[in-house]
Amino acid sequence: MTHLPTDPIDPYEARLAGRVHDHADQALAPFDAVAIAHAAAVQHPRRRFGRLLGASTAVGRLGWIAAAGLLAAATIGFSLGAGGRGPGPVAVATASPTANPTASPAGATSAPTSVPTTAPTATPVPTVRPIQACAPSDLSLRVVSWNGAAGQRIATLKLTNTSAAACTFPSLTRPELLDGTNRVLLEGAKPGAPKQLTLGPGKSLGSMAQDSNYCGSTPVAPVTVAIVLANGQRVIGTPVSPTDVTGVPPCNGAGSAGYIEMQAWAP
Amino acid sequence: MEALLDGDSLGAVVARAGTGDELAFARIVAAHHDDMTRVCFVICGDADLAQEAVQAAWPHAWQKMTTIRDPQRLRPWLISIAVNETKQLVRKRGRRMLREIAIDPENSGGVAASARSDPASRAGEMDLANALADLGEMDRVIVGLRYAAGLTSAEIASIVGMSAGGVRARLARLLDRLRKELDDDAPAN
Repeated sequence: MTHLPTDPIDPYEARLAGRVHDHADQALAPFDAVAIAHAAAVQHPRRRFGRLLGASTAVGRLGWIAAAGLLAAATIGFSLGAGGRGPGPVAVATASPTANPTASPAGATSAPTSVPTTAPTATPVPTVRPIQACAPSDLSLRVVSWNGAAGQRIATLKLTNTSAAACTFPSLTRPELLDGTNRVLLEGAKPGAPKQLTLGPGKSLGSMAQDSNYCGSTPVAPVTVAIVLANGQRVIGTPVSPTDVTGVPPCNGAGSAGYIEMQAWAP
Repeated sequence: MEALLDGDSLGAVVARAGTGDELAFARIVAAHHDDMTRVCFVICGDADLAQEAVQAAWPHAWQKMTTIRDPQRLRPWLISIAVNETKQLVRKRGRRMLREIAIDPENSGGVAASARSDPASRAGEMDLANALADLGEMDRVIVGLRYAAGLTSAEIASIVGMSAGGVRARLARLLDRLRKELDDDAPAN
C-alpha cells in the first residue's frame, strides 16, 4: 500500500511520492512479526509485579517476607505430610478413608485403663476430581482475522471452552492450514512439551498463526486454520467468512518449503 | 497501514500491546514494519542498515508502548523511533557509506526488483538514489517521512522538531531541487 501525502503542496508530489516509495521497496524483506514481537518482549520483559517487588516501604518488604515464610512453611508441611517425598499430584483423586491407629512405642508398658478404647476413626477426604483435558467437542476455534505482510499471512485465533466445565489445554499445538474440503495445505511441526493451561467454562485463549509460501493447487474456499492436539484429534477453526481465502500465502518459490507455525496459547 | 489491524480497534490492540500482549504487538509489527523500513532506507540508502535499524526499533517500541496515549499517533511514533535508530547507525558507521550505494536490482531481493530490471528504470533508480544521497540528513528524513510513509506536514513537524509551516516550506524547496536534479518535467496529472 502506498501512503500518499494527504496535504499535497505541489502537483508533482504524487509523482515523486510514487517514485520514492517504489525506490524504497527494494529495502523490504520478508520478516517474522511474531518472532520480532517475541524478541522484543524477551529483551524488555514487562515487570508486571515490579511495583510490588520494588516497594520501598518496610511494610511492603515485610509483606513479601511473611508471604515467603508462609509459602516455605506450607511447602515443608506438605513435604512432611507426603512422607518427605516431595509434592504429589495437585489433584487428589482418591477418597479412601484413612485409619489412624495410635501407635504405642514397642515395649512400652501401659497401665490398664478404664477408658474405653475407641475404634480408629475414618477421616473422609473430600474428593477432588482432576480437571480433564479439553475434548475437541468442548472447544470452539475461530479465525478472527488475517493480516498480511511481506509474503506472510498472520491469523489471529481465538479458542473458547464452550463446555460447562473447566478443562486443560496445551499451551502449544500443531497448526494446519486447511481449505474448504479439509485438505491440508500447510502442516506445522509437532510442538515440544507444552505446559497445560486451565480453561474455565466460557473462557478463551488467544494465539496467532503465520504461514508462508504455498505453491500448491488452488485451494477451495473457505481457508481456515486447524489445530492438532497431542492425541491426534483436530479442532477446525471457523473461517473469517465462507468465501475467505486470504490465509493462503503467496508462492515464494516452489523450491523452498512452505510453513505454518503458531505462538503459544495465552489467556 | 492500520487497515491490517482489522478485527479489533486500533486502540484496543495498542492497549493490549501496552499490557504486555505479544500477539497484539505482533499485529502492530506486521502492520508497520514495511513502512518503517522504507523510511529508514530513504534516510540511509542501505537496505541492510535500514532493516537493522527497524529491528532495533521494535524493542524500544515494546518498552515504551505504555506511553502511547493516542492510538492514532502510533504510526508516526513508531516511524520516529526507527528514524532515530537509523540516524544513530549511520553516525556509527560514517557518512561515506551513503556514497557507496550500489543499485543492483538483480540482487537487491526487493519485492519490486523485477519491475526495475529494464535499463531505463535502473537509470532512473540510480538518479533518485544519487539525488537522495546528495541531500542532507534532515532533508532525507523529511523526504522519507513524506514520500515513503506519507505523513502529513504536521506529523513530520512533530518528529523533526519544526513547525508544520517550516516543514511545508522546506518540502517545497526540496521538491524544486529534486525535480531539477531528476529532470522531471512531466506535467501534473
